[in-house]
Amino acid sequence: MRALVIDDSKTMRRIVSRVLVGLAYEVVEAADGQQALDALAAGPLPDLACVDWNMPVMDGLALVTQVRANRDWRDITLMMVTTESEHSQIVRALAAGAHEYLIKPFTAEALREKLDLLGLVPAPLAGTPA
Amino acid sequence: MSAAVAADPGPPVAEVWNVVEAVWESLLEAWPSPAEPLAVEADWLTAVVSVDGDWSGAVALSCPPRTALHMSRTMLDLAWDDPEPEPDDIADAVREVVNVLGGNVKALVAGARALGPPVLAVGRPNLEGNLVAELHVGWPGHAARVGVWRGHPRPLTHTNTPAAPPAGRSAHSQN
Amino acid sequence: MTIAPETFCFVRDLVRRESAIVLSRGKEYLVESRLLPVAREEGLADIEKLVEKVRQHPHSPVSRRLVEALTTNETSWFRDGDPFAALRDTVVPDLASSRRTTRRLRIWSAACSSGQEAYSIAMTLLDTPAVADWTIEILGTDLSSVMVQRARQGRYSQLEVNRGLPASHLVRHFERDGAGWRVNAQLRSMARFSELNLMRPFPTVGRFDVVFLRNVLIYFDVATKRDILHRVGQVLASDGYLYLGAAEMTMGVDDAWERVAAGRSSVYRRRKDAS
Repeated sequence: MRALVIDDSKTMRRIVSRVLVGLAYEVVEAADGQQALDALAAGPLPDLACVDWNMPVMDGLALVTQVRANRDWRDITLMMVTTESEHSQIVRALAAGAHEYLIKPFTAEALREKLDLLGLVPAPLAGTPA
Repeated sequence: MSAAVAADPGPPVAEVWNVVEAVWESLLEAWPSPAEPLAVEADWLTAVVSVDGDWSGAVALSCPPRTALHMSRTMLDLAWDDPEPEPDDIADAVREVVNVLGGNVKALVAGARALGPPVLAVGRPNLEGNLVAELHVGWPGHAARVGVWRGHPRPLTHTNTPAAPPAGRSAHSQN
Repeated sequence: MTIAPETFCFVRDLVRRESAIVLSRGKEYLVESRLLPVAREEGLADIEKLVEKVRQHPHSPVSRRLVEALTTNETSWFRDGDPFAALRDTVVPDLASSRRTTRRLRIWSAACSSGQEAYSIAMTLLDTPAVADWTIEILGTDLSSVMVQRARQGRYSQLEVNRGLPASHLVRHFERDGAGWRVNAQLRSMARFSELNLMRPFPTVGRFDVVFLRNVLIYFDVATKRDILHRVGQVLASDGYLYLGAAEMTMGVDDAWERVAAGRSSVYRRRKDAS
């Protein structure tokens, strides 16, 4: 499985990637929405994109809108991973086409569980404490 | 600007503590508690994120260099024998912590809409406006200060990385 | 107050055994802050006395409370997933077909902790067309008065609502509440909570169509398990369903039950010939 992790913070990209690599994902990183679009146009398509909201050049909401407008990219699961946590922001993101929404701060376990909800965990979560 | 928004003084301190607890527990693997107030020294790092909208202000996080180093090591999940993080990585870690704090504090205040990019400087936060909440946060071996300002924060005279790398003393705490 | 190293080690080992959660060195004051209220509720002077009691009664409710106090924030919504899908797709439609005149369903979450299971059941039923405008009564019970109070409030932290809860359900059923979230009035109206000790005779609770008894029997010995299952059977409708935890079964404990095909879930009904 392949993932694209998009966040302007290298630290946060590392945190998210670590969980995904632990689930046997190949991970590509991007620091803003434009870099993400470039990565999508250039390489093999990911199964999952983890998208931060507030980023320079192109923010996450704009990225989600663009990805969902492109039929070639319709099989990519989009999960926002962001500190934006007002009820209205989550509604906006889901309305723009995000499939899931993980609020920062989050634990590794929470991220794994969101992936499980999306059917994107490649191996069974053996013995996971719920 | 509605009367309710104009009147919102800012987030209750107890709720900011709830935010700090959630952030510390998940990002820093630590359980914070109120600490004795410490002065922000000249070599402390201060990360600030501005909040804009009908309510505007800023959220600042200040900590000693060894704590910033520890935050970076924890978030990057470095083993004891991994190389020390670069100053850029340390700055990025502290900026991200204030980013997460800021977004959650923003959600506590009516009329607060947009979050600015986090910026980092050395020394005390250089912000105009009223300090509406101040938290002295302690956890084993470390301390930090979190402040919430209301008003129009003057842009910091800043660089995005600290002026000097944090002291290279081995901060191999048990945490 | 600092707890003794041996005490911390004992607690750490117990928690790891019961929940696979690891409390690393440095978490001592987490243990202190979470266990002191439990000690007080047990009428004990301090944590050392609480741990002593747990040592003497290793498979007792007090042992469970200790573990839960340290792992409560690890509870997630729609725990294990499948049981709730089975509820929506199999169990409730089946029950609904024989309750078309009363249009009422009663469900018991019998170790409800801070309420995630009960509210997850409520959310699932709101997603089940067969009972769309029925009267739904969910009873959540727990041994701990602290947990029952929490469940009644329906308030959860930012970290807790990230746990296994689809974002679409979060926005549909929850409102922001300070730094956290709260289940909305509709969900709160579907569930009520009270204290109940499974080991004691049940107060009058009426009959239920479904009972969730997940991951609680594991803390009891076989005789107690059998007794609890028997008494649960008495408050369950004759065609009602019993949910146990993923790894649990009635086999070897109580042969009055038969397993039901409901996805991968551990779901049972009473045998027709059972008393």
